[in-house]
Amino acid sequence: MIKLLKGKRANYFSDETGEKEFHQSFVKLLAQMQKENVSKYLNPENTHRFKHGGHWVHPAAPDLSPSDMKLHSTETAVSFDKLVNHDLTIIDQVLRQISENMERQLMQMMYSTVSAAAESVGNTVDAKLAESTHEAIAQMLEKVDFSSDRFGNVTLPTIHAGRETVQAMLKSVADAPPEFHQRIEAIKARKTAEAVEREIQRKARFIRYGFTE
Amino acid sequence: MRVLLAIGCDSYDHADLLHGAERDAQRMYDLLIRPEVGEYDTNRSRLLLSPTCGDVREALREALFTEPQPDTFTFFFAGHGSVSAGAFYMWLRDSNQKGLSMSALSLADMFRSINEATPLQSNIVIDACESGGLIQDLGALLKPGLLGNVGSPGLTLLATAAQDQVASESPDGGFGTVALLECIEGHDFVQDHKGMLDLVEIGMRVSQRLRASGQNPVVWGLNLFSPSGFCKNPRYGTDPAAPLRQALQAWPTGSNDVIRQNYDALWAAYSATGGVWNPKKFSAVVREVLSPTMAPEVLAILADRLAVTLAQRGLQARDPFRRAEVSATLAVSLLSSIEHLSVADTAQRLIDHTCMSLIDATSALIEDLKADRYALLSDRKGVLSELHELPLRLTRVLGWAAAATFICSDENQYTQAAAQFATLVSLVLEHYGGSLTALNDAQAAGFCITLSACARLGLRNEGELLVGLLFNSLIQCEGRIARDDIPGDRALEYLLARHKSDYSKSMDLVARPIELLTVIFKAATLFELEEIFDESLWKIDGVAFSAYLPNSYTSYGASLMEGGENLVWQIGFDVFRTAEFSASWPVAKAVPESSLVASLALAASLLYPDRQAWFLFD
Repeated sequence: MIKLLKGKRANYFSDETGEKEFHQSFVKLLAQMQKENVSKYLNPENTHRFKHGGHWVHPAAPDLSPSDMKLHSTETAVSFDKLVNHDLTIIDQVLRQISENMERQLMQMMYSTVSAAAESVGNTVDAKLAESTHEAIAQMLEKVDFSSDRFGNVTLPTIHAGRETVQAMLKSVADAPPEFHQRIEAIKARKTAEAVEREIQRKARFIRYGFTE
Repeated sequence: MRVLLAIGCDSYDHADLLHGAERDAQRMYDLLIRPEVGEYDTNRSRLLLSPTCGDVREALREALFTEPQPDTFTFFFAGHGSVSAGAFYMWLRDSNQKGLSMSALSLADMFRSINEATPLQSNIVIDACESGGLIQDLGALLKPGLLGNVGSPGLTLLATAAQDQVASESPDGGFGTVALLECIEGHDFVQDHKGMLDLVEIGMRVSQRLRASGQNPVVWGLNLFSPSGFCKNPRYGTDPAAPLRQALQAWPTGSNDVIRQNYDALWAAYSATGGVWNPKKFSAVVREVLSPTMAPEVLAILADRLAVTLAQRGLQARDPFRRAEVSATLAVSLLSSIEHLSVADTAQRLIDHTCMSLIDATSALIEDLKADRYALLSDRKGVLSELHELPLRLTRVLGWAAAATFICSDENQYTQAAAQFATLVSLVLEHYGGSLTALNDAQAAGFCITLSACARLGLRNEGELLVGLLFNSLIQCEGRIARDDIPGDRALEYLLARHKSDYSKSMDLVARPIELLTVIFKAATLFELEEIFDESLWKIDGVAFSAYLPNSYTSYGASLMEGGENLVWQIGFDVFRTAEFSASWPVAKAVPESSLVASLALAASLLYPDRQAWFLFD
């Protein structure tokens, strides 16, 4: 009779290399799903990839407060019974659970970070205190700076909200008087001009921006 | 010249006294120095009792570097041992914990001296006394690099240690030394087919005995360059008075070049046998080393030597079936030279060993399954990989357990193997029915043997159930099982495609034609399931299936076989009913020439599952 060393469990015909390769392909698939999830919320051009852990600071931009790394983790369980019953649905279940959990954590982190940053400078609008939903939208627009790329193309802000809130906002905007729409267009025009001007000022900080021999 | 240096150290200036080490060294020296046992040179061999470090270094210098230099050097040490700063030290009278490198004998230093002296064969025996996991530490410290490069001498090491000195001693001496002496004297059986005993062979027997008392000795070394000359074999049938030298001179040197060329690969195979196992790589190395172009006698001896060394190494694997796989691989590599008597003798011995190992492994598995129904799940981190691995593992387990019933040459073993197989099939059906699924064409070989064994042993219900599960799962996936060489990193892709029944992006992973369906059809005839299966054949319309029939089963050990016939059928083209397949099955061009060839071909089909033991269905 074969006896293994104390504390060691037998691993019958276990293909360690094959299992490793399988696991690596599983992790690769998860990474691809995570990448797709992140790109829904963040432009890939605006994401940074750090080589080491720890918080990051902007020594040349002291107004920006240091930020910390946030750990996102998730856990999933698969029953032995499902494995021995060769239940292939568990692959989808595990992928979906991990992907959804990671996406939820990403969303929570994004909204809490934006929310904390806005609250720290008082850049918030209380919809309940506003006369109407569309009035709150107008106030919100007033408080947001538009951004321009280096070619002068201005990107309008996007609104993230739950389905019901979005429907209420759309309805309120649709029902708003014509003066509201004129006011919104004026804000947009003014903010767009401000964004372009800021970009011009930014470029002016370079020496001879865009100059070629 | 054969030189022995035996050291026993009871007295220490800076450590606790021991009481049996000197006696052990004395007994070992007295025995090995006898011409009819070890035939070590009496003028050059030394016995040192509680020597200082300087005494030992001087004795080593004399033993290894005085002309004529020894062709065999055996070193025995009994005393305290310890591991410090990644090195193993043997304690001598004046050894001190502070400055062990200056006051004790390090194993690495001794390896370096042996490397410089280059005796053909070196045997190191250490019976150390120390608490803690000394031997596990020593096992971790031993690396092929210690032996230097290709031209280095053959070296074998046997080390035993007990956690408790008192418990490790009997009135006759330390357990390790006593077990060793009993093998040398012939009181304990090692083998009776060779005139000499190898330290690895002895170490294997000693390991078996000491494991019972909780010790786990280290046996290490890959000595393939010289004869196995530790001592004469008292159990060998020929003239017991024949000089050992005569036997040693019979060692063929024709294998040295091929060993040198594959030295690194052999070490890798040696390490893998006890650790991360890759059967394909192992087979490739074995095929390269045990080349049919070699003289048959050399081939037989080399296979024997590899078997002894690797079987011992296989004991350290976590897979109890490893030893069987190793000896079967070696046996199968001899298939193409089986017409030579010496090769056939070795192959038969290896097959017998495979059978014994299979019975041991199956027994362990049954015990494990009774204690834990999930014992067949891997405990590594990749849980989902079990969806791919488990069905293949079940096929291997069943296939090898079934193989034991076909290859055993002993009635008692047959009875045991048959009873084990019946129990195992029943346990697997009870606990793993869901994973008995047609997933990969590599399963054909295992199920060919399993289903044949079910029929042969009268396990009709079990056979019907097994083949029914396979057939139904094959129908469910429309015959789209994975190819037998699917890359590990694409197995998930195949499973996802199979789950979604959409193979459009993974068609290269699907086997075409398949051999598993051929096995299922053959089994359908055995279990009279043709009519039931016929009703569903339209669901796999278009599926092609095949069988390779060789010119001779002696080619079954080759990686690529030539000259046989690839038989191909297609559902909905030339086969619409099982009977049409059965009627078209040709009379075999070849049958195994002997029961040994049949056993080897059967083992080959499990090792290289792109070939089947079709003769089992005849």
